Amino acid sequence: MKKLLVYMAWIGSLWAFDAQDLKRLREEQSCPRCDLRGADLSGMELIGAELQGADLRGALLDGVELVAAELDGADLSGASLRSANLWKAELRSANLTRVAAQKANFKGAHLQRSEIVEANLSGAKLWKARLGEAQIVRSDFKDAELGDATLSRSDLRDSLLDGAILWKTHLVHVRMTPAQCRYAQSEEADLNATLCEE
Amino acid sequence: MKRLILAVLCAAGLLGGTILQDGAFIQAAASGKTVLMLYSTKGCPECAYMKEKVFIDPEVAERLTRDFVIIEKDINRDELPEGFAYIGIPTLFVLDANGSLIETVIGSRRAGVFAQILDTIKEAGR
Repeated sequence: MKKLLVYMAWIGSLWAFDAQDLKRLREEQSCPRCDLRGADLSGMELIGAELQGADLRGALLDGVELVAAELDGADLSGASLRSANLWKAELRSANLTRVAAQKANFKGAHLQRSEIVEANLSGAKLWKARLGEAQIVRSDFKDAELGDATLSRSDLRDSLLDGAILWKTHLVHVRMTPAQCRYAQSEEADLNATLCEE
Repeated sequence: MKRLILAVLCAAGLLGGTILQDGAFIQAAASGKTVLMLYSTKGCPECAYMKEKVFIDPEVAERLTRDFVIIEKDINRDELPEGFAYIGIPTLFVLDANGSLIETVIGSRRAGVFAQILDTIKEAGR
């Protein structure tokens, strides 16, 4: 029993944010490299917030307004970002592993070199998003809107693109399955040195 | 101060008159069809998608030609009619001949979905 309690406390501590950091974010809209693990920030207005390198693992960010927020290098793994607004947000080298970002707005966002592993971005808006050298693994882009977005050197073969808008999407040195390539061509994507193979 | 701001805005062409004073609307409404007023601008890929892909899709084009008239406003160049604020582009205001707002469609849609929206608007207008 004691062991179980200790284990539960340890599990809980994995997602325990620093209360001072959360207070600082609420007051100053700025908290770079802060510990905000598991914090409930859903629906908050964090426009232009400075959160570079922040630890946002498992945070609840549903419907949050993170327009033009600075999140370079932030760890958002396991975070919930459903319908969040990240228009023109800066997310270079951010960790988006297992994020639930259905219908989120990433229009014009900078996602270069980010880790998008087992992420759910179905129905997300990624118009003109910059995804150069993003590591994309087993992620769901079903019905996502990637028009005019740029992807380079990513391997999309184990990710879902069904129903995604790929109109004028720039796919540079990207690896795709032959079926994905045919779909991208039918969507009028710009395939530049894209490798189509199983 | 308020007057000065208003004068500057008017000089910049950012404040127009009412929708019933808008030349493009008056002309469009005279056709007897429902008016679709599109807010867009250059460099907006989603706006371009609607104009270059969705509006010319056969399924959509047929409905547009038959029942609607489109007028376009460049949010950075044109005078925007009073009372039609927007939070993002593209925004499509659906208007009856009296300039009353029937519906607002924010963002882009796939051609099939947009055709359904047009059908719903037409049905509601009967």
